[in-house]
Amino acid sequence: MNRQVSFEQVVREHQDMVFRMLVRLTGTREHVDDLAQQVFLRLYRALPSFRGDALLTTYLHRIVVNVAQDEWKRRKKESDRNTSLSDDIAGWEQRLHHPSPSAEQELETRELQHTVERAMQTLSAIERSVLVLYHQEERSYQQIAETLKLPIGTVRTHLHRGRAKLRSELERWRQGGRR
Amino acid sequence: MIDYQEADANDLLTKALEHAPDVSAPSDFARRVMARVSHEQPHPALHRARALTPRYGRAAAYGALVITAIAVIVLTFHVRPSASWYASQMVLMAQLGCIAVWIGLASWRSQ
Repeated sequence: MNRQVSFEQVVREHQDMVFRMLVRLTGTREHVDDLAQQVFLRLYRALPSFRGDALLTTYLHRIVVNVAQDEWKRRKKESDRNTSLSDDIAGWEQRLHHPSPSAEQELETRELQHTVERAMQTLSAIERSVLVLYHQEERSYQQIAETLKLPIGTVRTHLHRGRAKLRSELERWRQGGRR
Repeated sequence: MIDYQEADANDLLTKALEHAPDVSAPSDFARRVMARVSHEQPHPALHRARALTPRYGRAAAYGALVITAIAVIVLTFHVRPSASWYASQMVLMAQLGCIAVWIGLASWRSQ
């Protein structure tokens, strides 16, 4: 078997998922290409110790979360989070597909998305990871627990807390506290 | 009593969270990753990355199941009934049961 071809197939199969998760976890498109390359490099280096006792996607999710957390720590030090967020999120929001033809509703949807994205960056790294894995990647509690190496109960707690924090932020926005 | 405002907020939040960013990898991304990877040492375990379950383990389990079952059947007809044979038979049956449970758990975990 051609090992290089096999790994290239793995990259092609999962690259879009990696990009989506990194954008949501870091809240920006900045450096996403570099981060995604880091993810696959780490995967390649870790393969000798991969015993097949977990799904490859679980393993990959774990690496994505770790890379995103490292990036989050790096950006926190630079303290330039808010500026990059507003620049990058506006870009992909333009491509939001919404069934309603109303321009006002579309604007509100865009603002809602922006509010949620911004609020996501105020959550802890674990809460953010759990929310992305659960809602965006549609992983089960068990799978998230395996990915993050946490008990299932802890996963539920983080999900609940993360949603509660986002909900209060959303309420503030709905009551006219838009920033 | 349902709090409709609460339900509405939850709904909106869920939709926002489920709406994945519209982003995909550039067309040359895999090629660039492979260019970097080519500088790494090749490793023997790459094929395991493609496996969803440890098939070598399951093959061994099925083999052990068959061998144990055959051993129980053959020995039953060729060994004179005795206390020690009954004890051995119980051990073999218990082994059969353990292997069957392991296969069942492995199938369940791989789903």
